[in-house]
Amino acid sequence: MNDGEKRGHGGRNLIILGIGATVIAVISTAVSLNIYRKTGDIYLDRSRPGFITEGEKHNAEDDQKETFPSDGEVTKSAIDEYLNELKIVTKRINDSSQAFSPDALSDETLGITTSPSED
Amino acid sequence: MRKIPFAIATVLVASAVNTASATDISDEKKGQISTNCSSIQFQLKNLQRDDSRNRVHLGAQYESIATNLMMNLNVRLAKNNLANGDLAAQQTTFISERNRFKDDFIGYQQELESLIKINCQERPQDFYNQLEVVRAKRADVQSSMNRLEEILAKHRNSVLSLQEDLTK
Repeated sequence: MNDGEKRGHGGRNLIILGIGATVIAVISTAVSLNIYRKTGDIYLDRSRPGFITEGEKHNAEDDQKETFPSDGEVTKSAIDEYLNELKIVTKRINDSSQAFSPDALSDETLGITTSPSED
Repeated sequence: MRKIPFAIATVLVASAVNTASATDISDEKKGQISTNCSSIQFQLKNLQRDDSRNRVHLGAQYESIATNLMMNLNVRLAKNNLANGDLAAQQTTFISERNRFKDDFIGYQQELESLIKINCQERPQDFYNQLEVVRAKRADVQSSMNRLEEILAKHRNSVLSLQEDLTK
């Protein structure tokens, strides 16, 4: 085999390697995206573009500031402190208690109400 | 050979039952869905975004309660030889209910996405049937939130009882 033939094979192998690597990358990406969607992680991923703004991310992080030290004595004032922290977080939850109310998907909200004689 | 007609009959009956279970909507409603299709789709996409924000916000609160408060309280009680079975059980129940909230939310979002994909202009009946499914899934999320609130109310009462015991 002369030098020209060797160079020809090398070029062809390089192309096969490039195409093979691209095909494997496309397949593995498609499988990963499929798993990402099927498991539902797509609906929980806060880093998904357009899902949540930077400002909202910071607000969510600030929301986790309340904490109760796991060290120390258990006294009446310590329990008071705990109840205060709990109250702050519970209030935030109560403020969002209507977050998943059925009204948002009612016929009226979606504008598909009919005249009383029809239904 | 007798099994084949029986199998066909079973499939036909099952199919009839399935069709009957879907809500048939009036022609007027179908017309309204077709006419307002783009507006309805727009509302649903906005709702999907708002729901995701609410889930993040609520998820952060539930996480904060479970790990920063309940768990730390139980650890502190244990360190002081005051481990409380009720409070430990409430922490476990709260965490499993929080996981259920997350799963219910995923199920709801998957169905909502299927609803948004339906061409409501051409398939108003299918759209409405799927809307009913989404409503049920949304109700599951709301129920999960309510159960978490109930656990929190019980937890607060248990902590108050503990506080009373300490002052005795």
